[in-house]
Amino acid sequence: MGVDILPLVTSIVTFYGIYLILALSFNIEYGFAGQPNFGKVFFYSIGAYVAGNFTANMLMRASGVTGVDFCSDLAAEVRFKVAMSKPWLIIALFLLSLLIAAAVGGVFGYLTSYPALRLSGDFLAIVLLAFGEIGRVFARNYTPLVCGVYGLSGVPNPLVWIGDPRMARLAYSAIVLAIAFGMYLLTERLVNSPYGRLLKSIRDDELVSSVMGKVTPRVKGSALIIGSSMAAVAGVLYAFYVQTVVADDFIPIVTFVVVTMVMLGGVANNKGTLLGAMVMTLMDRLTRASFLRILGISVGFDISYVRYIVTGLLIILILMVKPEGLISEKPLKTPAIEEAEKLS
Amino acid sequence: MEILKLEGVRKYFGGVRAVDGVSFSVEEGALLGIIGPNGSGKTTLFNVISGVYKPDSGKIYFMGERIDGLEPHEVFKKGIVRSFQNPRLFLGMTVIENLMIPPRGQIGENPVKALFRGLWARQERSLAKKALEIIRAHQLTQVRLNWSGEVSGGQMKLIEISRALMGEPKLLLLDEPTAGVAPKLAREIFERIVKLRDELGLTFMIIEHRLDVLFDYVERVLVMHQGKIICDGPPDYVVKDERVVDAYLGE
Ligand SMILES: Nc1ncnc2c1ncn2[C@@H]1O[C@H](COP(=O)(O)OP(=O)(O)OP(=O)(O)O)[C@@H](O)[C@H]1O
Ligand SMILES: [Mg+2]
Repeated sequence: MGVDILPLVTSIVTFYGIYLILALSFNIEYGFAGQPNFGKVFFYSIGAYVAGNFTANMLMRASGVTGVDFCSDLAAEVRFKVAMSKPWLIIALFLLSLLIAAAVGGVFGYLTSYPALRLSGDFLAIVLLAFGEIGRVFARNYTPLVCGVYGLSGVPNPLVWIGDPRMARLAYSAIVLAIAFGMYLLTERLVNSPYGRLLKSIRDDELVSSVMGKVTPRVKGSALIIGSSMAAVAGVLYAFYVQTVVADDFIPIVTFVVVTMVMLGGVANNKGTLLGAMVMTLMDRLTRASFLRILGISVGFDISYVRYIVTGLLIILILMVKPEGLISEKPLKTPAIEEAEKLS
Repeated sequence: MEILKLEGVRKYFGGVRAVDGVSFSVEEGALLGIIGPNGSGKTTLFNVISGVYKPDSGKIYFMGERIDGLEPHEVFKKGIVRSFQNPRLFLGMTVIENLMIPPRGQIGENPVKALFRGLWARQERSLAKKALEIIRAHQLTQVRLNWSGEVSGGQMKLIEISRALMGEPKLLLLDEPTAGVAPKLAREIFERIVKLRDELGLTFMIIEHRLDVLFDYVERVLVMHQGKIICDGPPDYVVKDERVVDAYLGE
């Protein structure tokens, strides 16, 4: 039986890129700053909502078609047609979505950090987890955003005009991977600096950090803004890949898959995150019926539950066997360390 | 000039009168020792001055300004830096990195500027050189790249002092800086403290259990007992005071 390998590659590459961005953002917040942002999926969803709502609205406007229900199949078709005929438009909308989502994600990160940062560790995690669920319930019920429970379809892949959908997706996956790798390099730069050291000081002992002059709520807020902004970018990449935005895609398990990536790879270690994201992306893909169907495999039960079980077991296993993760934390690569190394 | 002044400062923990109406003032450039039996309130006094705890009542002035009720980072900004009796190092960092936390005005602490190494690398290198010098003076060169949890207890105390020194203090509060440190090195540390005071005009308040060493270097000693200051004077005056002898013998 011949398995068509291309969609598998595209799917894995794209989701690796998306998850890598999410995991890097969680690593900044939790690995470095010690703030367990269990509302990760909320900020991810914000990106998808922004991309979906903005792009769909703009395409409807560009089509000149009026009087059609934004959520209807017809409207989705209209949007695809416009995107097919106006490559520059859909590309511009894609790029603008990235920018707007990054900004909106950052703003939400700031807003949620305000109450959240007056809480410590565990409480912060619970509050942010709740935020995510509230956001999802809101999006389910407020149809103008992404068409409620049915979801918004017709968010065309920005390369849809290539014609061959397989090639469009493949090319798109390369773009996602490139953006993700760019984010990796930026994250490395961000943390291998006095800023990264500052984040770690808060993680290690917030009181002492404060005694040493650091305005810790502000710094923690900055980490949440950066992390949320990155998560929103991932949400945009997701929306344009699956070409639909459904509120119920953004359930807490997504957050926990991301958390596991960081814990598995090793906290405060972006190389570990590269690795953890790879392992968990494969796990995530292999426990989805749609993915297995491509492989010609069908199982007689809802395979999604395997994902929950594996994720839970992995978290427990890491905590018990190798709490520092596969690759352990290294000193930050700063000029201070270089000076100290020179000495010997 | 008076650098620090406390007026009727109180801090209770439930029924425990940890600091019970303490008033005193410190001259700029002073080398002040604070002694007293275990649990007499010395560390709590430092916690209240450094903003870790808010006093229940009383006033604290630093260089003429009220500082009681300020957040720890605000107290630091005014120029008060402290060390901790039980070392509280940043354990996810190396020794040198611990020393790189307190320096003020680090450009690269801004997340946007952090992305552009050219903006802060030079500042970072010069701070690192200063840190390495302090590290050398405290005989920590061997362990400068160790994780800060992977050094001896005495070395942890030395890292505590070193880190505090990196905060460019006007007033330094050292809580038992030489506990667990070899006697010879302890004396060297005190000699350095005297030098820093003489050359840079820093003011020191030092809690110390090793009275023999302390008394050789400080010119004034506060004795605390049950949250109160029971004696205040030069070392040779303090040791002869009956209340002090009683407080220690009654321990
Ligand atoms: N956070 C706290 N909560 C409750 N009680 C406290 C707290 N901090 C200190 N105390 C109590 O306050 C009293 C003074 O303690 P403190 O640590 O200031 O004494 P100390 O003079 O530094 O003692 P030592 O010489 O043992 O370090 C003690 O009875 C102590 O148990
Ligand atoms: Mg004490």
